[in-house]
Amino acid sequence: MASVTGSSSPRKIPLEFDRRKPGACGTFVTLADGQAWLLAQPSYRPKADGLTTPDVDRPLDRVFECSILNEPFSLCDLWEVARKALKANYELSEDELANLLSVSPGQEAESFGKAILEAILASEIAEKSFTNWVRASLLANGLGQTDVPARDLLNVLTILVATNRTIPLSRFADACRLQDERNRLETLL
Amino acid sequence: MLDFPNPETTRREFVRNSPIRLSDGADWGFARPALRLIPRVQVESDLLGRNVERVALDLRHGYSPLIEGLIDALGGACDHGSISEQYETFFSLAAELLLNAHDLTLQTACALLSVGDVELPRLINEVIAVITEQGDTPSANSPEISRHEPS
Repeated sequence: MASVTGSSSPRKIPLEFDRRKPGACGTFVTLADGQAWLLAQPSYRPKADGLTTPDVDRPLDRVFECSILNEPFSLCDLWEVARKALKANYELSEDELANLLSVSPGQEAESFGKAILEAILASEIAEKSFTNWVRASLLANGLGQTDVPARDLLNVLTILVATNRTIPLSRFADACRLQDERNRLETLL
Repeated sequence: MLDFPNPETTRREFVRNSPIRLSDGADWGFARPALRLIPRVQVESDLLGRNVERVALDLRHGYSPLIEGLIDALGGACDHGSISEQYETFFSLAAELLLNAHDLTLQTACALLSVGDVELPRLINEVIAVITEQGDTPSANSPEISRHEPS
């Protein structure tokens, strides 16, 4: 008996874990095959030929422009980002990538765009925690490659705050800002 | 017994669908093949003559890879599988088509698809007609699910 679609052989859907490269990391996003795939988040380092690895400089710039100008994002830009983020983590052919990134117009395309932006910009995991404050403060001061002993860490950060090279933890951390708001509310009551 | 939601309040916008009567007696939409937007990589030259990859838009008519996979699985089960595999793959496909057209939980979709023995052949024929884009009559090359009780 012929298959439902009339094709002679079933289409092969790649299994996520079969194609994952060792060391793959990022954010899981459910794609058109219904599986969750890890989208690599770009890392940023100024180089002669660009900033991001995997290289998503151009589409990221266009997404930024659309965001500022309040224009709809181009699906092609989001695809370009998603394709490179997937290729960084998986062994996939162009046909397989095209299938995985395919969408229907409307709600599916909107959800896809939102998921890709969240995964790439890491907006959901960019919480304002103590460790993220320490990390951002050290990176902003060129100490990203330096091992800072635990006994020196608070002194280093105190000096960075005192010399206006980072902002105080109380202005950065969500917990501190929440406590500040609670205190203000208690004063009002 | 489940308190079934209303088809109209759960209907997803912009999804082409065909109505099929389910166990609650209401007509529910089943997603039909529709326009798919597909990325296509093309190589172009930049201002300096270097090759750069650009992503362009292609259009295709059909289903998502998830549903296409379920259709293939149903075809495979009808060709080589047991009766219970045929029913399992059919209901997996039918549930996915229903969930594509309505915002429902899988549990509700399964309850809606739980029609009686008398209604089952009609349900099968109508779902096959949706995916093959036929009228009410399934095409000659559609899979035939054995009309026996699942084992």
